Amino acid sequence: MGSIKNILSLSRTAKLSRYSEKWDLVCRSFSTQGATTSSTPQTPPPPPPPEKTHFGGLKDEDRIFTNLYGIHDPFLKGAMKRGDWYRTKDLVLKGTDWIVGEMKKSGLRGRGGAGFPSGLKWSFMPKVSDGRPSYLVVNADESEPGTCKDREIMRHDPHKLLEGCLIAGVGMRASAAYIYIRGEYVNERLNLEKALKEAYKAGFLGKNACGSGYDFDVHIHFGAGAYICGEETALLESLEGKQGKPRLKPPFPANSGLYGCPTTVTNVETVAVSPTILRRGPEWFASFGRKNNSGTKLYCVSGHVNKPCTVEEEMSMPLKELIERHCGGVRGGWDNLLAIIPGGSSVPLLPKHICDDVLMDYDALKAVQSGLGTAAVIVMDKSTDVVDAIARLSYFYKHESCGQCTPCREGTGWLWMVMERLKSRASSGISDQSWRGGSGTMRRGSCLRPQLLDLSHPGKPNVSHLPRPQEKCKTVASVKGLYYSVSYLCLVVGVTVKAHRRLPSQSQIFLSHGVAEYLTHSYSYCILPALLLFRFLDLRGFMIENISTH
Amino acid sequence: MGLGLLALRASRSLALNRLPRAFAYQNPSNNAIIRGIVSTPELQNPEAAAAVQQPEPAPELPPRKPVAGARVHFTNPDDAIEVFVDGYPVKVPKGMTVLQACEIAGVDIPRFCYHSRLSVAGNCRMCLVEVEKSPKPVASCAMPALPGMKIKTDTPIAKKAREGVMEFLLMNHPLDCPICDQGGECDLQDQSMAFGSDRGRFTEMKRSVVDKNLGPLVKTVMTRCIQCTRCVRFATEVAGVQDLGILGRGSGEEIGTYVEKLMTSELSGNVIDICPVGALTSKPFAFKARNWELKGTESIDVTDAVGSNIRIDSRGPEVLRITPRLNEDINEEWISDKTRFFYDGLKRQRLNDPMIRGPDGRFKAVTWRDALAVVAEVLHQVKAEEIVGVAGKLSDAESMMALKDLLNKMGSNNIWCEGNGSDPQADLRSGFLLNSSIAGLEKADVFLLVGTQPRVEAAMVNARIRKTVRATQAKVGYIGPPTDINYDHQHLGTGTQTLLEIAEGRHPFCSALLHAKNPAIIVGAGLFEHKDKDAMFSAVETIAKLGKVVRPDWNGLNVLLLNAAQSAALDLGLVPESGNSVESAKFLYLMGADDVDLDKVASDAFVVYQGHHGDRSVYRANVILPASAFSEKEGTYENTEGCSQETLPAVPIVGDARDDWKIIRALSEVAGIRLPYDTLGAVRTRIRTVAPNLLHLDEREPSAISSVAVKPQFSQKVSIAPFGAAVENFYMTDSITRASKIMAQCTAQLLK
Amino acid sequence: MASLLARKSLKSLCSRQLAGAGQAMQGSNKNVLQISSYRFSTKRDDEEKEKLLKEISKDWSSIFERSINTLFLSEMVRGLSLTLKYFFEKKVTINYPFEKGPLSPRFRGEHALRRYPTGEERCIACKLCEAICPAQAITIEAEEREDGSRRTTRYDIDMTKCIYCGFCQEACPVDAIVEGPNFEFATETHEELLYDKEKLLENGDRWETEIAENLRSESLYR
Repeated sequence: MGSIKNILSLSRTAKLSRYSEKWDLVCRSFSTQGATTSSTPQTPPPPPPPEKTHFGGLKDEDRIFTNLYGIHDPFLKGAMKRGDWYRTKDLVLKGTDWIVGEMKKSGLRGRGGAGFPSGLKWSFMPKVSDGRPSYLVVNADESEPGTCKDREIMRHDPHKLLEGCLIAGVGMRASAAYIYIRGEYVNERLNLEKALKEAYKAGFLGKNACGSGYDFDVHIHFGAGAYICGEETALLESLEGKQGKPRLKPPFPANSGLYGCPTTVTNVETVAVSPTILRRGPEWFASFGRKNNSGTKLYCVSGHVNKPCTVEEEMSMPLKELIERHCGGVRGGWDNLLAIIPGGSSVPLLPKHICDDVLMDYDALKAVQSGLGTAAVIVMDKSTDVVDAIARLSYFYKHESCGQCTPCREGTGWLWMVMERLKSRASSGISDQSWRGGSGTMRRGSCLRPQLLDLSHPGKPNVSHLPRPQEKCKTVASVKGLYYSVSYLCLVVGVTVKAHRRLPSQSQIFLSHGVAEYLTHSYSYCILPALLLFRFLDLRGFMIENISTH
Repeated sequence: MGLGLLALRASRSLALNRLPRAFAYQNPSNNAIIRGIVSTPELQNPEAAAAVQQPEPAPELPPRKPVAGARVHFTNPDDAIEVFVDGYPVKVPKGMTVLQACEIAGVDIPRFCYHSRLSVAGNCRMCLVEVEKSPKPVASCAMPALPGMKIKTDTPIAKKAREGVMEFLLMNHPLDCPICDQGGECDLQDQSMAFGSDRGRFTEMKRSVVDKNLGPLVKTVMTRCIQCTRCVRFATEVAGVQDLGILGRGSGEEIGTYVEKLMTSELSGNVIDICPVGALTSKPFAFKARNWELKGTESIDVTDAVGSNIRIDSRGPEVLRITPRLNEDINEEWISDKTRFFYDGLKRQRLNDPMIRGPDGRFKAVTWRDALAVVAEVLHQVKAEEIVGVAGKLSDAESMMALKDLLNKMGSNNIWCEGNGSDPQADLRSGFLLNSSIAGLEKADVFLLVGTQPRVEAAMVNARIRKTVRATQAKVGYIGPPTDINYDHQHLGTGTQTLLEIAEGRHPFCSALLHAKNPAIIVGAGLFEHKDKDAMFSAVETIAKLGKVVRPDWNGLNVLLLNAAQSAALDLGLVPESGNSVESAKFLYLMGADDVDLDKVASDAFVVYQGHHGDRSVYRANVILPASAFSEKEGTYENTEGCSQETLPAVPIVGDARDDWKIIRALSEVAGIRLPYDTLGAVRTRIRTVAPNLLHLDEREPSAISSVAVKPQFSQKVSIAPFGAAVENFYMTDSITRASKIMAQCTAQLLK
Repeated sequence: MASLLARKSLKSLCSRQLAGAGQAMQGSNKNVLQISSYRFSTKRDDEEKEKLLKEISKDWSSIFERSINTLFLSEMVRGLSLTLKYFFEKKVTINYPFEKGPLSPRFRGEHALRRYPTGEERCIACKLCEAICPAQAITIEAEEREDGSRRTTRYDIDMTKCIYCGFCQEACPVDAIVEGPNFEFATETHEELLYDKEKLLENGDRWETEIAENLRSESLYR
């Protein structure tokens, strides 16, 4: 008890504040990099010059996750060697406002996908408790296809996460943190649990965490493997032992979250980087990346690259450079690239010409109607059938739909069936027009997910705009040609060619069972006159022109 | 699919077309429909044209009426906010949802999952509306209305969104409307006509789901389910059973019980009403009739003392189903399973003809004349004090009045209503009524249930208590035999001992009672039959005094009656002169009374049974006079809170039966003591002189505040015997329910 | 739209008539009648005079032609030749009970309840025919069959009420109730025309071939 008093005493804080000018310097020298790279303390980097135009090529000493690849000891000994838990007590004692202020200054944006400024989010928590405790919930339900950054943190740097929990917990006046780990992450949980035990044993967590006088508990919850539990309110439901289905908002979790108490749900990476930011200073962190997109980020590159990897890099790095530098380039060279999904399966994919020069940050990707998401880059080369790929993704979404809201419950299944049909039969399919109608409704659910799947989104490939393997295109073209020829039968009535050009796009239903059925159905007796008519009008040119645009 | 609907609509519009035109002009609400049909009336009749144009001084926005009588209730006038629905300014209280605001503005928003009495789920997404400055359509049922919100309900975006949701819902919904019992009254059917597309684009396979067995009452066709979860929410929130839930996720989502299990709630039938599609339908009603064939008669339930408002749907001479009517003060919009499904008892075991037991012990059908002559003859042979009359549980006020008058004319005053005990207290109405009223129970914060199990005695009162407990965490203490109560409660004890402890202030529950703002004590009418009734009631009154239960602004001392006839009987003064009159009776007139202990009746007594079912008493009767059941007559019933209501004839009387009061009136004539009334109106005029409150229909007549402890303090020794259960079998309480096959099934399957 | 127009014209007709009648009512009845009869008589006189004048003015050729016609009975010959022509032409009348005329596949004759090829009755007791029947000639009662399917226990058509509008077969979602090609079902008593389910099913069995063929040929237009 006495020691706590001592710690809380005024003289101590005064001393701390006196040292605060040297704070940056001191912590840098003992920071993560200190042990492994340079021993000479670096001068603080100058504020990011506005003319900085090229990003990327993060230096080793600027990396936050120094054991990303698991070559060092992930547990307490190794972690302390890398600078974790170093003088955490002092950080805690600096107080909530200081932590939130520093986070705001650092410009850290939520790494879970939405990119909401973290400092701001933390500051939403009630300043004065109304009797209810506050909770921090760490969303480690990393289920987005293509994303594998949080698992690296949890299995190789678990102490960064635990320390981050304490810091973030203090930052939002939380009394406990819950880490919700996805069900399939078994080793990650084991590592994290071991690390948690160590941290408790070392007194870093629990009562009087790090000797700061702050009581803070961390609980690990094991999910059951549902994608929807990555949505924050569904995660809270699941954590409470109910079915993982999103809640109605409002009330938002900051008012009434876990067990009805104020809660903030944050991503693992967001939490794990916070101690380092505080140690090395917000300016250091803000020096990376473009304005409003600052910091470093874990990118998970998968797909058709030579060396798929998870790598920590600077924000706003050009996508091409990221792939070329860290992943050994696209399989078969950059020219073999077809498209890239830049931020996990929920964001619209980028065709190659955009990938050439797009920057990997929130704003740049938003400008090209995609998103950074979780920075899970999925690369597809020209051997990919995009329809097949989307069919597989829609199967995932169908399988993982929680079923609460009608549009997603019914729509994802339908979408999958349509994509399967498109995949298997080049001749069939519904027109993009008809899917616009249906899928536009899909983004009306409780959670955001159906929206991400929305095919009518301008950035999403429409059925007709899908780049497709050549042979399939040919079939489509020929079939479409026949379709037009059928449509031309209407010309018998005397419609002009010009007026008729609009017919296919106006017709709501592109007959799904192929032209043969269509012909035999009711118009079969007209084939011959139609062919004659074709010859007469010499419409070949028109057909070719139309097919090329479709 | 909706051919029947279409046909109905077509015929309706035809009917409207036939309306005299002058009527159409007078009635602006019809104007809109007819205006499209009437062609340029001004060309033919300039005066009429002027009349048409006059009532339209070209207002920008013609006034609209709130949907379905939606009411705004401002608890705090400062909380009013103004929103704009399609340009109409509407004032609504803060915290109201967009959907409710639209309803007040007169715009009906389509919905499936939203139900005003259940929690908001927000999952069907049918109620999407456009809100200005919102990037996407919002689910109006879950969105609170904010000041100045501009809601648009009929924009292309909103329409498109609804059409899309409808398409998704119909995707996996089977097109089996022709064989679906919901057809014709189906929300999905109606709304797809109104908001759906005219064609489908879904060509893939539909999903199918295995049906669940929920018991003898609810039939399931789960393929039709649209996962609105209304039934799940109803079961957990209102019925208080955790039987239903959602299994699986995504397109594999199913409503079910997880482990094969029957739904054991006494309110389970209500899921049939709230299901917006035909997934949950009535099993006894299955395939029997279409809703457009049925004639609805607004009536009252008589199986318990609540007097739930019901609609009797009949076709020809047959009652085919019973559905609830909305009455916020009594049953809201629910009814118990007994009320809903006992109707098949009305067709079975009926007494058709007057009968006399011959010397061989067999009944012989006779004419009314002969039967009445026999009864009148015996009536004159016995001494006046040996004449005893007992009114049954289902008797209406008119017939009880007539019976009482008849017996009084004969010089006997030994008449009572079964359930009221041998020595009922009828002087103070507050002594036998639910004084705080059923709706008033929602204000209570502590309940003390004394010898009553509302769940089986009065399911709707129980639902009200549960609602209160859920909403306000009110405390409930229960004294009585162990029972299944579906809300948080403390079982304080089993009998009088506990009651005395509380009365003496020795019990820990006393503090809750003392600190309560509006404590409510509910005493079961089962105690009326108890030996130590007076002692118990004085103990209760002591508790009431202790906890300040009776105040000028709050009367929380309640009696929960068991039968529909009880309170009217007490109001009419059906109090026997002597306690053991049955034993000494030589002439016993049972008017539908089947629960009289007939073993006590002397073997030489002459028993007349006047009633509609061949139930228990018939075995002892000497003469049977067939009477009409509640569904066949007009009769007044007073419920446990003192609200008189009226039944109306829905079906014709069976066989040669007659209304109860008419039989007694005829008997009086044959016996030479003619009663002075010939019509039902005249009987009611007679009732006005005795209990005028019975004639104030649909009005609750509160009792005057009783001063507590009119009775002496309890001093006599009381037995410490535990209270018994007043109702052994929820499903079988009277002659009709005992004759019902469905109730027998329920008893066999659900009361295991 | 068409109905609207029809209604409009009907209404205007009515109003015109009313207006005429009103006019008539207004004046004294006798007067009007007298005046009109007077007018009529003068008009007829004029016409007769004119006719006479015309005939006188006719030329000789017409007189000649007429007399020739009368003399040689040429009109008679022409008429007899027409008779002779039809005498040799093919007969159009048929020997009805032994010969039958063609029937439209849409002919609405005697009702029948059809079965599926398995022998299962088609009717599912949806009661749409009962609901739509304008003459209220159909009575249906239904309940759950043992196998849980929805079937009728009673399906009665009062053929003396029926107006053969065909709404019932239009309303039927499963093509169970149809109006077959049979029109020869006259009976001696009224009771025989009160068809029950058994009779209707029997009709269906008997006429199934024809009914199925008619339905098939009409399927494109339904």
